[in-house]
Amino acid sequence: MLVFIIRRILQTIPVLIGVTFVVFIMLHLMPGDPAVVIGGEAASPETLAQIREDLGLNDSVPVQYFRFLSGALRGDLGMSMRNRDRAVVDEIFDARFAITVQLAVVSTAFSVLLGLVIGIVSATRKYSIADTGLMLFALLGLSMPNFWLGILMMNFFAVTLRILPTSGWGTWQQMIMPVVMLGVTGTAVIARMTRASLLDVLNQDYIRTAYSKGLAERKVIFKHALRNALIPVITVVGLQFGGLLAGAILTETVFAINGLGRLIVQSIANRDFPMAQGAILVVATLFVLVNMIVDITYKIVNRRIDLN
Amino acid sequence: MQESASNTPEKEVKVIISHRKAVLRRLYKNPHVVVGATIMLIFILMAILAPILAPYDPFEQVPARRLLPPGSEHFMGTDNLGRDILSRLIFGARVTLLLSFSATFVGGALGTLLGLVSGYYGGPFDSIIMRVIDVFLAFPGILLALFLVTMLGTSAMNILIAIAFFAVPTFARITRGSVMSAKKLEFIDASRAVGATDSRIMFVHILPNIMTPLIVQATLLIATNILVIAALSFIGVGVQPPTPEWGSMIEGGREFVGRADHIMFFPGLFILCVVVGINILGDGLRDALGPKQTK
Amino acid sequence: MNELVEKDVILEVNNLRTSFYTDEGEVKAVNGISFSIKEGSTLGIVGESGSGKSITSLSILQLFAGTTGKIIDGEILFKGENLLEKTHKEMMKLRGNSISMIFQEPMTSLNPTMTCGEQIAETIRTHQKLSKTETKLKAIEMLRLVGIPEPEKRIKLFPYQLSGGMRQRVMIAIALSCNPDLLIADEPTTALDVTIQAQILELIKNLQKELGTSLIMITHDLGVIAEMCDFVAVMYCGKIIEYTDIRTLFNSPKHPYTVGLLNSVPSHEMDSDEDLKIISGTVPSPYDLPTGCLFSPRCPHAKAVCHESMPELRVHEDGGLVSCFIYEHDKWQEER
Repeated sequence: MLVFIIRRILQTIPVLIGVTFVVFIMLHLMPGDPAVVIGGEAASPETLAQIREDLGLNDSVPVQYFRFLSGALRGDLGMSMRNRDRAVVDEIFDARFAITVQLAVVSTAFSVLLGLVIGIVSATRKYSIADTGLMLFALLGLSMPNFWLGILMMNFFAVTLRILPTSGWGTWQQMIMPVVMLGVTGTAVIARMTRASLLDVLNQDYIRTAYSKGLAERKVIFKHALRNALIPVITVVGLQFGGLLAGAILTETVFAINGLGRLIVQSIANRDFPMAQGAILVVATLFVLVNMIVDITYKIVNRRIDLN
Repeated sequence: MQESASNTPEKEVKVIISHRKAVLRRLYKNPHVVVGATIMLIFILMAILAPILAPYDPFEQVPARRLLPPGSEHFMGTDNLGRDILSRLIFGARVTLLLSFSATFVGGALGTLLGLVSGYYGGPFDSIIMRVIDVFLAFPGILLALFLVTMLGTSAMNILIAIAFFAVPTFARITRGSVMSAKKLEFIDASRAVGATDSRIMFVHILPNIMTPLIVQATLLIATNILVIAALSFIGVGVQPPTPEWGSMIEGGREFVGRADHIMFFPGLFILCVVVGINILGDGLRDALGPKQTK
Repeated sequence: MNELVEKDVILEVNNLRTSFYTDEGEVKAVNGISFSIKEGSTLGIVGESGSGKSITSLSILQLFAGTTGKIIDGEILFKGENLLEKTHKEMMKLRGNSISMIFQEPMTSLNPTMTCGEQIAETIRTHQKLSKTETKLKAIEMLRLVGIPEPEKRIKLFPYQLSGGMRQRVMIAIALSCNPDLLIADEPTTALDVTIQAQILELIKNLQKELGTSLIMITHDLGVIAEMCDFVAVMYCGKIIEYTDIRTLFNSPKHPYTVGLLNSVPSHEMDSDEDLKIISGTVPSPYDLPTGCLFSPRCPHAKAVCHESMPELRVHEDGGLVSCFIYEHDKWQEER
């Protein structure tokens, strides 16, 4: 087990290095001179020279990458292009990082709780009206453009009913709509996964054994079935968390939340590439780390893998 | 009981019916497949017949008819520039479906090829490909597409590339996994024994045997891609106006929420309907083509 | 045999019918069978897969959760009380307590996420009011009883840490932990290695003797029947076609199917010059059962009458029951 954990952690390192490389190369793959791309067609030669100087574009690409990597390792992602006194790292970690992580964590919690309840109710009342209704609900949740849902909710709860604030992040009222919008896909995925997994487990031999011992249905489901059914759901939760980090881009745009996602969109719009690079790098790194943790958890929970 | 469960008469009967016939039978007998395929076909027909079906020119701006609510003349109302929303939606199906289908096809084919070669040969080549794929999988959801479009610029071709790129890692992984297990099957050894070349084994013997999960995945990916295309347009890096595209229509209607909700409502509804249809189809295909599950 | 006759009947099944419902239609998995077991004795139910023998055992405990299985007719009298009239709660009290069951696949019949100790203790806790320590001690004692060395350590192990034979021992420990009156063993040794099979059979036999439990042994293996049983019911396509004591079955099998079964297994009790071959053909599809005697399409002796009507299960002169026209002399002779 310990060997697995260490190996899994070590595996993460090349992936993270690869991620820094991809994020770094972004600027260089753009057609044309990066300085012109950043500065715009109309920029004066002095501005372009300044940009080249700031970004170290005069060095060779490997040197630039090495500088980027070592900077990233030291927690230095360069300076914002828009506000030259603002370090990218400060902009990201002052408040935005925490806001996006909060948003993702609360949405994950929401998806997991609601998704599990829906999945369990559906699976235990297979083919009932409740099951059909809940699965239809999940299908809609899965198929909905969630930014559309966000705007509809905003229109209804904030504009028409005036019971929730339209934007921002901090109070619990401000959290409700963004969390629902961001969590709806995850809820649907987890609900469907839980249902499928639970139905699968309920067909297993050990469930019949549990009934043959004289256990009540409730006990069989919660003590025997659910434990096993949740194992595959763990993986989905990890993936969902990553999806939520990306989905935050849309949620933060709709509800004007100043998190990482909005930062990415705004930086791209403002052609503030060091800022966009930094934010994307942080999101990807976070996702890689979360997946690593999920894999390790999965391994610990699913002891059966040991044998096979 | 395991033994008797796997030998229920129900299953024995199934084995007797020939495989292909059984698959077809399961396809058209599966209500999900039928409903999903029907919905998808409706949208495809709508895209093809757009010039015939659309009541107005999707680009025509009529200042006198701005922000009209849904009514008898404009079934779904008009937008802030006085364009007919229904017509724009019908034409929008062309953009969305063309982009999502072709991106799925391109990305799927490329990913399948990578996975096939990687899984078949194994070794250092496989390790390198898989590590690279791990790197791309580290960019969750639309981040990678957003990233690529930013890099390449927002032309339709670049959006296609970005979304296709998004499909490659998933397909490569699924294919690789299936290839690794298919490689162990006896008929592969048998064909090698009679002198089949590697490429023949890969494309003639292995590929047809691992198509099922790929078909299901491709279907579900089309649905995801429609949502991604809409999302990219919504944040302004996708299909650019004035081209009618559902996501950018939602974005365009955003500022009129409260005054003219229909501008953003109907595009979302269209997306919802087509994605629901494709997802139903995907579920149905998985049930009908997948390994028979216990009921 | 006589001493057994004296004892009370513990379980009596009358005209049991159990069906499954699939897309293709109703499957009459158990189609009107009757048998009984006397206290402390062993009944074997033998048949090929799909014969309904496992469904019979599940019917007794009504273990159909998650399936479409349903008992549609008959009665199951356990100590004189009809189990089919019991409420869910009453059945729960019986399961694992008065009647328990061992299943075929020790690999999958234990919950992979719970320790063996927990799984034994759970049964004890469900049916007996014991303290935590007492429950644990009882679980250890049960493991010792089924011949697992160092039970104090083993109770902490998860199923994947045990071999197939060990797991089946744990299953037996679970099943016997509340001293049931009736144990149903559904192919308990099929999934095990031959040497382990013998050990497990020996264990079940010894424990049965020690605890005085009645046993229903479900198997497709006539060797197991010979080893364990007092009486045997031979099932084919959801019906009992022969029902007799063990000696009669092996010495003079009546039904052509039974004869075929015995002949397909090399046995020292059989004459080597006997003329019957391995049963030809396959078990018919339950959606398309033959008319007349269910075995008629495969029967080497079948005549017109066999394809027309189903012979009833009748008492043969040696005391056994058989359902075959060969033994209904009037009908059989007419044909000639």
